[in-house]
Amino acid sequence: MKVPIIPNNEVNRLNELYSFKVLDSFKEKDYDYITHLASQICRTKYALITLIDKDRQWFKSKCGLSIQETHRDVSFCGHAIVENEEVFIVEDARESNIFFDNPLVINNPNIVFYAGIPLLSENGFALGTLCVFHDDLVKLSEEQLYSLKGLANQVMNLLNLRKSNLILNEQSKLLISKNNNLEDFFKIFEDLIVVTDLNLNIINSNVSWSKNFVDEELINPAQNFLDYINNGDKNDIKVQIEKVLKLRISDNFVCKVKNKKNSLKEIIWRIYFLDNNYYFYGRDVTKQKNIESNLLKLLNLSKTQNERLQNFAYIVSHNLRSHSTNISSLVHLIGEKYSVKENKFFKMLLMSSDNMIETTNNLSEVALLYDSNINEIKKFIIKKIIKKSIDTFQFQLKQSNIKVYLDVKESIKIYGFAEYLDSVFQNLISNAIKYSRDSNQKFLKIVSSDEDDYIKISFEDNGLGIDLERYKDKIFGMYKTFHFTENSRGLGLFITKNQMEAMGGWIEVESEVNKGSKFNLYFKKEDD
Amino acid sequence: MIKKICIIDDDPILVFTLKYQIDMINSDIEITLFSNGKEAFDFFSDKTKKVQFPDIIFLDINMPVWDAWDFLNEWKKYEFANHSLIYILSSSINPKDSQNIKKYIFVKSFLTKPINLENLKLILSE
Repeated sequence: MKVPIIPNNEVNRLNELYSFKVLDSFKEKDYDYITHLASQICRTKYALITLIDKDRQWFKSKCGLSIQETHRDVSFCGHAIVENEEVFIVEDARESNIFFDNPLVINNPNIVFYAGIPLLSENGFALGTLCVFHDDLVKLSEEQLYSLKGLANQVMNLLNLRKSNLILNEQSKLLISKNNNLEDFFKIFEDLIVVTDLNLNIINSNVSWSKNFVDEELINPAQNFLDYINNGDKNDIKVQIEKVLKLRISDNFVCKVKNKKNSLKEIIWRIYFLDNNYYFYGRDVTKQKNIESNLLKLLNLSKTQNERLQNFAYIVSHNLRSHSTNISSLVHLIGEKYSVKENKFFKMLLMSSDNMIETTNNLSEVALLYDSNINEIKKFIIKKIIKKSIDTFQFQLKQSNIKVYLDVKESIKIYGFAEYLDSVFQNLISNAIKYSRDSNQKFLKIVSSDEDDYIKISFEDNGLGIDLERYKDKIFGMYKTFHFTENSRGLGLFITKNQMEAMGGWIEVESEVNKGSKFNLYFKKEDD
Repeated sequence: MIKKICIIDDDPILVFTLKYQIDMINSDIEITLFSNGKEAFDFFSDKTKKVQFPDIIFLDINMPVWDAWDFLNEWKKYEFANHSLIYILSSSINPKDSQNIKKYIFVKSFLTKPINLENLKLILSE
């Protein structure tokens, strides 16, 4: 006995067969009619629809035979599908060198005659056959063969139909589960969806809308969308509807809607136009709007407070100053006119009036920091300005025996305001003088370095230093002094910090008591 | 030699102290007083009188009716603007104010109150 050859395309052929999901399926009348007809037409005892699985042939329908499957090795149909012919005929199996010792020939059903039509799928794979066989010799006429081929064609149609149904079923299952997902989502969807007809009568809406805006206890809740809209906003809807009719989609627009409890909610709407219906999509922004309006109120409040403060600063810088200069002038004149210069009370009065001028000067300086009408920011060669500031203090530096080291490149340019630069450098130099510590080698090192978008200039001394643990938060504050030195007025670093920030830079400090201080200034290289 | 000085300021104490200081330096100097810019301008621009222009005008910035800028903007239109040197007197230390005076060539400089006696001596001896 020769076993059937395995076709070259076996793996693909099997995949194709499995895609029909027909192996081991239930008996079906449609197929049984066909095998019945085939055996009738060909006048054979047996007719089968066989499908060739990996190791077996399985019968989708059988006529005259009771077994459901056989091994592939003994199958006639296994040969039929590899012969690549329209019809595979064995006229007398007993005489055939392939089949003479086949158990199906020797034993029941004692096959003598066999004719099989391969069942070819659309992709050209032979899945099995429609076959007829008999335990005696049979001669098939052309007409009988023609009919048999027609029936085989019908089997293939049935199989294809089966496959299409399978695909459809799967798709509809997928669709249903997708729909369920969407439905579930719309149940918890907090935004509003309202569908209306061209007259704005509501024809559908989501849960969020009906729950919050439609009073279901009313027998006749309003049917028209406009009935829910705040009177003042109805016109907005009409304007947007006109837009929608032209462009199919509206702008985002806010209009208020009365909810069930009759309170107005601010909703951002957008309207879409589809199949002669309007789709209103809305989001409740009442909370955000409240926050916004509170912020606006706060902003206005701080604006007026700021204006009041600026007014106050102006009064300090101008009016208060004129009074104190008058007092000072008068005191000085008294000193000229009357012989009181050595009088203790007069000396104190003179000192107080001078201090008062100093204080009002400082306050005006601080007030000016916040004046928005400062001069234009410009580029400066930094070394020139530092040198100028050092020169201003030449005398005091010599007197205090402080050696200045200036290590700043000639080429470095930074952005700033001329007055502020002078003020910042002079303040740091004067601090180094005021707060120097007795030592043989007092110094002030001024060094520049490059830090990405910024130029760093550091002023390092070996003076008294500042207890940073204690004063960290206060060092750049207003009226903070950390030493009992004459002339320390506690405004310098406050002004310096603000001036640095006004120029788009900042100041940092490193310091240790009885070692010294290092102030790092950061200047912008380029204007934004 | 300075013979005539004009002070335009609405603050009587400032006027008193400045006048006193000038007297101390040279009591021969003739001093004219105005309490705002308009008053002074009307006086000097009056064509019906023969007006003698002062050598120096001390001009306050903030005054009622016409402030220093109102005064200067009118003053610069006239030929007599060059007859007197003007010193701006200010209680303000706003650098912007000192920038503004550069627009007027007949304004000599910007003085911050109070004027000390030594400075005043320098100004009068120029």
